Amino acid sequence: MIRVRGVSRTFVEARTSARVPALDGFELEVSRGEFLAILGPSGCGKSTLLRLLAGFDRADAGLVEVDGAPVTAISPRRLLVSQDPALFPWLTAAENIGFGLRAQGRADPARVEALLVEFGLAGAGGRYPRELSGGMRQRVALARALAVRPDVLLLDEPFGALDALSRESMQALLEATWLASGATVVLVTHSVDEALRLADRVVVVSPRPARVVGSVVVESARPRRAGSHPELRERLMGWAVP
Amino acid sequence: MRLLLLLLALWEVAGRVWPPGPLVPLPSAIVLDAASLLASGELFVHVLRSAVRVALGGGVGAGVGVLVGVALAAGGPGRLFDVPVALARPIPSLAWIPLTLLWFGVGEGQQIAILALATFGVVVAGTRDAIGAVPTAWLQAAENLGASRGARLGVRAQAALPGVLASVAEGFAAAWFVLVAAEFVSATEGLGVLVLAGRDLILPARTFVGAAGLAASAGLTAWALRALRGRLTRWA
Amino acid sequence: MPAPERAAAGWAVAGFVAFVGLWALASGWIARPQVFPGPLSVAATAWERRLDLVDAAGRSGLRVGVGWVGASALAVPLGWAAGAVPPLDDELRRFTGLVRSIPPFAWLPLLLLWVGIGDTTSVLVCALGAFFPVLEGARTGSSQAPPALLHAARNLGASPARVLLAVRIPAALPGTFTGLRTGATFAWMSLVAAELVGADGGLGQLILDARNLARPDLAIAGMLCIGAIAWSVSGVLHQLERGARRWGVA
Repeated sequence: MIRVRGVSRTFVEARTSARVPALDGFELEVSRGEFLAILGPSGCGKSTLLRLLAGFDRADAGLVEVDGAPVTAISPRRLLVSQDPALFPWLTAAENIGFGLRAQGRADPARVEALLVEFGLAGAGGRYPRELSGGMRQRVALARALAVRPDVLLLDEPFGALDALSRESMQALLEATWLASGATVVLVTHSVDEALRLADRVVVVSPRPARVVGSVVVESARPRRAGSHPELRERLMGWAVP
Repeated sequence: MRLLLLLLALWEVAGRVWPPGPLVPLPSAIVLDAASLLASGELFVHVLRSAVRVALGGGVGAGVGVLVGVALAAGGPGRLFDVPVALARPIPSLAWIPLTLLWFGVGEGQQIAILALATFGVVVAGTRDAIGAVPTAWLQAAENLGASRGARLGVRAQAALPGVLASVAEGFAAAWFVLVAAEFVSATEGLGVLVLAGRDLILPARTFVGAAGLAASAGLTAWALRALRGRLTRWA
Repeated sequence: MPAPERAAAGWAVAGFVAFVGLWALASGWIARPQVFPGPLSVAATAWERRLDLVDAAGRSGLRVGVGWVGASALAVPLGWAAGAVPPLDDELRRFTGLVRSIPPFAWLPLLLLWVGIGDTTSVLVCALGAFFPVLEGARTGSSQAPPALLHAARNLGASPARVLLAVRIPAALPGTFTGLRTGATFAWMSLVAAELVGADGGLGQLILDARNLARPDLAIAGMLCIGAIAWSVSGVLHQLERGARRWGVA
């Protein structure tokens, strides 16, 4: 479904004119409907990859293909959700969720209502983002993304700013939603536990330039519980660069 | 507040004990002058005339300022406005008096033009900055969700609205700020006239009345515009 | 030059050319040079009267300089103190609240009455114009000194005076510079106003005279001078501010 071959992307820092290689000859493949976690320390390489997949940026070299076609533009079929929920502050939660649907002329209040319930936001639909907690905002962001039923869901450390409790419930919610949707998910995270909790396969990446250094397959029944793969955890930690 | 009243009281007392002559008014004289103007209905006329001028001048200046500000932010050919705006901005609105006199002649038009110029300078920069400050993350999210170009422009406009309204409020404040200079040349009625009357008629009390009226009017305008902005951007 | 800067410079040049071109066309079409002079006429006049312009600029500059420096010498320490001592800040606010919203130009008639026409009045008006913005900038900068740094300094045994000098003031510099810049702008505006009303020489006077003699080309030349000076001063202060920011705490 997703093919990344020999992809390179280098940034030039404005002030110092230094060249920062984010990706260098990066290779990755993701099957349709797979949940892939990309694990690695904070740094711009992983985010850059997601942005390339979403079409927000172009690679300097190499191939980025989704569903057989090269990625050239931004599309609701490849939805990116970041740590910053980027909700539109002048729209209520419900209006935010319905934004993509309305933008494509397919307004669907019933679906918005169903999503509000599914994401535990029933009753909060009429509130503005500034009246919502961090966890609720991230839920609205996810619901907004899933409303348009993307083929590919790209998540860039979406739960990084949440407290531990919210993170746990969000992970359960994400797993359930993904199972029902059949979308392909690429999740970038720096939490080993989160990766093991959610993914079919975990890929470890070294920082700047990002390069795959290891990969494990997580064969475990779903829905999962946290902390059930100590040996895999050890292997992943072994690859992780401090 | 109490400190202010205390000072006024001191001023009054000191003035009675050592009369400073006709050049320095006592608070009591100021209040009396204000009362007499109020009673004769003159004060109302002065306030109204100035208010209308500020409304018209500020309105025109803000309107054109928003349009040019949008053009500047839009980039491309809009950037052509960069140079004239950059040249004109550091020129104090008062320096435009001679030119506006030449172009508009003596009268209301010239006064309103000065006010419009003062407002324009503030609003154009504020609008351009507000539009430029819209977070790219929001625009990208909108595009990702399938929004058309038009819808994305709508996103940009909504996001910039609080900033634009704030700069309009600042623009009107600037108009009140230069009102005295705008009315300097040829106005016969207005708060600026009151301020200047103090010098011409050697009635310093009147200057204080005018100044107080100015401060109050500017404050009232600011409050009203702030309330309006709150209404229009309740989500902010 | 990297691409976006080249593009911006390109547009700036194009804009300048377009502006001058349109101006020339408009003045040609209106064909009334006594009312709407063209750019060549203005440039020629500026050259012809360059000595007068420089003299006027010098006088105006001096007045603004003295007024601004004087006001800042008072406003900066006061602002720093207000930022450090909240009760002082409150008192100051209440005290100056009403006064600060009166435009400097409104003080002019009173000053003219009490002090008369002349340099003193002009300087005082400038000082009045600059005082409040500078005060506000210094106060804001001072009050935004990171508490963590202040506590750390005290913890390490620094006396309150040391903390003030070594931590709070450097942290306050960027905000103070912003205030100084705004103050300079307001001082310049106030000066032109004062000179229009009556002062000896100076750019404001020049423009007024130009009008009397029906010479809009001279008026425009004078205005452009005013604009250029204000822009340069603002630019220099902006660079100083950036330097302070890069090295400073904020």
